[in-house]
Amino acid sequence: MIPVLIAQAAADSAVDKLVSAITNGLSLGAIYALLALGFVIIFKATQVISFAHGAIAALGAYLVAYFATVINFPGDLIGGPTWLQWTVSAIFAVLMTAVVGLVIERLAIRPMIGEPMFSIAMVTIGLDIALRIISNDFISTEARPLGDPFGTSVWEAGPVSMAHSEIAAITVTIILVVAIAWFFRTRIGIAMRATAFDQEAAMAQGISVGRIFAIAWAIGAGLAAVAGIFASLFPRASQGVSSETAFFVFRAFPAIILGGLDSVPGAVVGGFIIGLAESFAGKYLTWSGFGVGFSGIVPYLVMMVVLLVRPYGLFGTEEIRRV
Amino acid sequence: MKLTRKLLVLLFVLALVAAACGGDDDSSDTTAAPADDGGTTETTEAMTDEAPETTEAMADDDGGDDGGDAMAPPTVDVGVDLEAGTISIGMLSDLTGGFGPLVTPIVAGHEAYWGNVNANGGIHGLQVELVVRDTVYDVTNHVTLYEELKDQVVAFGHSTGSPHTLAINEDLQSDGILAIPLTWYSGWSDPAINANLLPHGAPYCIEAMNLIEYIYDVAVESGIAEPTLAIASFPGDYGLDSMEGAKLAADALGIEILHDGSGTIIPGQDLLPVADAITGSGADMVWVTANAPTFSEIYGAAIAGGFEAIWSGAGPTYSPAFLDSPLADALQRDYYGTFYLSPWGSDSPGMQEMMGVFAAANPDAPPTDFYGEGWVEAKIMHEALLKAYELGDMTQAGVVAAAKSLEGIDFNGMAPTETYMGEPNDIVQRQSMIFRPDAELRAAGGTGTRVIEATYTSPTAAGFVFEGACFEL
Repeated sequence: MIPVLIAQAAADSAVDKLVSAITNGLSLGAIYALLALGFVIIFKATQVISFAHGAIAALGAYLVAYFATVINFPGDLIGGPTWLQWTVSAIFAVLMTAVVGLVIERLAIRPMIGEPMFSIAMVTIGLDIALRIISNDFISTEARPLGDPFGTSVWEAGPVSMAHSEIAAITVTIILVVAIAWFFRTRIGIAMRATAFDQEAAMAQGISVGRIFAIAWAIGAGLAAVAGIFASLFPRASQGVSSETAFFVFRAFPAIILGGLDSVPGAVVGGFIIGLAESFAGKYLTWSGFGVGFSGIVPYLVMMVVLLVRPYGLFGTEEIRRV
Repeated sequence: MKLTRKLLVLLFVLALVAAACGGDDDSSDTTAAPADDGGTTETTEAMTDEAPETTEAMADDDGGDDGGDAMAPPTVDVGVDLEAGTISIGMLSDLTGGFGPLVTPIVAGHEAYWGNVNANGGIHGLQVELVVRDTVYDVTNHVTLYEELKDQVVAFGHSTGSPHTLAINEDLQSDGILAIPLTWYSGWSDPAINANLLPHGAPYCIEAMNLIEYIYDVAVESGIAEPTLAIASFPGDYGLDSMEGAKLAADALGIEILHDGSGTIIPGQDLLPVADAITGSGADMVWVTANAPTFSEIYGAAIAGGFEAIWSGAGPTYSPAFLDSPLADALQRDYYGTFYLSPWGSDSPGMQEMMGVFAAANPDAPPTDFYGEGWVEAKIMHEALLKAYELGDMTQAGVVAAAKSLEGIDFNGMAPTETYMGEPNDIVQRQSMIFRPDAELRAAGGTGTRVIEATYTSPTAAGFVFEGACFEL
């Protein structure tokens, strides 16, 4: 009898562990996918590698903390239940971050059009430092809670146990991915795809390339802000947005490269693959002699293996040079 | 046209940086507020670094708090300008690195302390100036900034970080300069390396002994016959020194350590594996040595999985801001913390004095327990400088000698009394303050740190024979 009970307990434990690895991987992958999506949209449309993405994500999370917990704007204008007020304030903060993206593009990126990619990348590094210093100044000495309605609530069903914020992260990511897919079928979206394919040809067709650049930066910044919000919630960074939030984006870089720098579907798939790989490594490999840091290495190992087989990522466009 | 655009881009970036720096009120190079009534009435000859000189008699007509107006002026060399009436103290601070959120209010504590001293006449009429440098918690920066300041300041009001302080320790000794380590590594109480350092507060390993024994008693009283323990920490001096203390306590009390995660908490990485290991161990008690953001991630993941235990951690692991986060309820149920001095809002005379000064100088500053740390460090330096003045030698080396003769520095109940003269085993600090998070206290305007033992020394810590660092760097 006892061996049967032990075997049953072990089986239950194994199922719990597997389910936990999947749910954690999906919620982590959702955040990575949002970061990668924003990064790829900016790169695809403007050919700019934005190292300021993490700082923009942290700024977006801070703006949520400010609008939702300090001035409750515009949530208080709407009224109604707390969760609704918070959601409205959070959406407003994301839109404000998109405006910051617009301003960055207009003042710092557009003047650099035609300059070497390296020079523009250096400008984004400067922007990253400046934005981090500014947002850290706002955040001040302690992390800022976002005042979210999720709290520490957990949804449980059999072996599945997920924090409400994790469910929200996955749901919001799915909605945004669908919205982006729809956007690329609209007039502006088609113009963006045309600009990404050939800027001069797009201009010849009457497309305002500058306007497309601005829209790409606004969308990228807005997606970064949403990722920054979920990276600052329970159970990831339960304390809220802090000076370390901006560095979270570096964990998403393997997802960006893995999917393909210029592939929107690749960003989403890459985000979830890296999230799941990191989660599974954390659950199954860390305590098997690999050491606790191994789960942090796995995303890069996966990326390296994929790049050996597909140098432009899973969905990236192969670059052909004629000589 | 292109040049104009480039200039606009450059201007934009510079404007952003300038805007960001503007809010700091010169935090990277600050001085304590000068008093309008301090100062000297007679001047000295020009001073050189090579040859200490003695000044002419100095009058002090300001009625300053340090008295001794008739005292002969001391010998000085670097960092004390009797002509200008100033004492310069260096600060090697991490303002924007990993511990920036903690060190920034600590520096504010120094500024408030010296502003108050200056307003009350300074040190025998000499106004104290702080020369603050941001090390960004980088050892190379730390050494470079030490080299920059060593010929400008009489001593260092603090030196942030153990590897950082260790990197300048030999230079401190060869240059004959005093520093207060802003780190509680047990090695600072080791006579082999502490010749020019003034540590204070219980070292990390003794702090761990104190709190683990305390929560062991709590667990036993709650009905757990043989409480078990899980431990996890940062790598490096802070984490591993603390882990040594935890293991010593566990060994002394016969506690089984079900999970030893020493050095496994790496900031910036997914910390779910650490949380999984702790929860998977099923331990009754958890001891974590990390910082607040990483702890919140581990603790959040653990309670999301339904894990319940008595949680505890080293001083910098906890942040009062947790009480504003979704973790507040769970922490009030689970957490026991420790710190090196009494919290903001406690009723000790020392804390009340400090709060009065802060209220007058900066009434809008949010309360934090780290102001007190800066205040305590400044108080220790104040005592060393007063002693050096009394001994007539305010050279850098003279301040070191004076500091090492200090006995029974009293913080008016704000922190345990410190002594720097005697055998290390006799003078190493063994007292810790133990607290619980309390949201009601925070809502009432405090930091939410409810003291349950103001000066606790566990039997394990009391009986521990200190012969050197618990963990060798």
